[in-house]
Amino acid sequence: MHLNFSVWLTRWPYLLQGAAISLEIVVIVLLLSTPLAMIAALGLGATNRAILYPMMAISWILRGIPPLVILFVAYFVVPQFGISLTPLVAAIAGFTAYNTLVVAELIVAGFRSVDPGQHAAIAALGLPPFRAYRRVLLPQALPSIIPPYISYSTDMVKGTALAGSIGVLELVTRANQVILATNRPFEILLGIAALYGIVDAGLMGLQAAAERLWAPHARR
Amino acid sequence: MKATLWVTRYDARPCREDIASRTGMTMIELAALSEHGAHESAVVNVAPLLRIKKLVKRYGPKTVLHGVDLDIPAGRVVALIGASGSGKSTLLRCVNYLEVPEPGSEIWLDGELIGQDARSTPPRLLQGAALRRQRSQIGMVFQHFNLFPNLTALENITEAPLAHRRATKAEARMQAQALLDQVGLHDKAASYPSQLSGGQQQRVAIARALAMKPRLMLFDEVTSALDPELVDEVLKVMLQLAQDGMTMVVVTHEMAFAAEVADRVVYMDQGRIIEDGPPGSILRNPRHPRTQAFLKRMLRTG
Repeated sequence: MHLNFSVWLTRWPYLLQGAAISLEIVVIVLLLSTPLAMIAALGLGATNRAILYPMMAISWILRGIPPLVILFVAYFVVPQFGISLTPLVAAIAGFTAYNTLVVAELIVAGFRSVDPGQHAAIAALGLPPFRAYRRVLLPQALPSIIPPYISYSTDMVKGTALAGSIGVLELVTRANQVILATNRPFEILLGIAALYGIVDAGLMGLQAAAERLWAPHARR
Repeated sequence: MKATLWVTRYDARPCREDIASRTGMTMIELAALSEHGAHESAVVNVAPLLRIKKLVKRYGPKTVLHGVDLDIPAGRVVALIGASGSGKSTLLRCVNYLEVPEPGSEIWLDGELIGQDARSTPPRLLQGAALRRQRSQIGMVFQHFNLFPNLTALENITEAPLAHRRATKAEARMQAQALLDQVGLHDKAASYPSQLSGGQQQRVAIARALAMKPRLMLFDEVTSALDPELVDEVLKVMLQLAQDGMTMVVVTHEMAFAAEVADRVVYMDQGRIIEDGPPGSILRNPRHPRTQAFLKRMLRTG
């Protein structure tokens, strides 16, 4: 087989624009879903059942159905209620809904992994809750939250390809168009694989940096 | 810089001369009463520092404390002994409401009802800042230290005084350094708990509990998780604390420590106090068959 990457000479602006859209989705979704997840985690960690049970139901639904279905709901069902979204906005809304609950569960699990003895010490010393979270619980929970958080984020980078099915011209959709137009599938696919690789490598670099940051006070 | 030792004496025991002058009893009469297990403070009707009344605790259908009453005057060291499951640790955790006792139970610290609002009838459970303030007056040391692993030894100690706004950063650090000196760890301020031995960690934990200048210290099997060769360094710190006049309730399996340091030994079995008296009589001449059996087991294994 003879590889000829010259197709990229004319098609690269179109494909890179697709990569930019994919990246835009990832960044906006992470920026929206991370703080939302912190709030949702409060609900999932609540002792008040009037808050806990509805949150658990929402989490079960959003994490239980395929993200593709969530995108379809955002794009095809929501407009029935009079809110019309562009494909890009619908994709961002759908991914945000899904990712918020995924990350919220990670946060809850991270805090649950903190030794119960820490809570006893906090109570015995009479530390106020906010300070206890900031100084004691969060620093201990983060090392077990960050790695899966990054891992889910890399998953989402790949997951953005789903947005193509509601009409967002992201990287994979554009690659598909270019393949049809040029009949050069290998060259195009290898190229976009490299683009995904670069984004994922960036995220993994972030993860390594984050883990180094908490290394000094190695966990017991 | 070496900080001056910030504390030398805690709540002092009522001094015998003082009581003699207040009651008109002679020193010899008082000494005789004391020999017979009566406490000077009881003679002058001084309220005990810690008063536990009708303490009941249930876990589901299981009752682990059956209405325990216990009075501890200021400056006393009480050793709580008993088999595992006898309720001694639960009793300790009820004192600062880490475990919430059943309604009707009362914990009084220096005339203040702990964990409940005395003004409401029936008493409402205290929450939030009011409970945190009360807890800060009661130091607690745990079997597994429960130091904050992400903070240095010094930061572990300064955390509570800073959170309660008892001290500026500089004051808190100075006091923490003094406490580290007191527990023999003056050079470990910057160490993280993971860099310390079990005995050192437990001494930091004692210093952390002392940083709030508590009126009462609770020790929950603080040497049980330690390697045998590290037990003594922790007991030494506790002995010093007792000699400085701190009021202490010590749940322990260290009979030798109980014999040497405690003013009183309380033996618990199945959620009840079975025997209560000076260590000499409880440990050497236990009257109750269950106490005898327990001590025999302890001697065989320990």
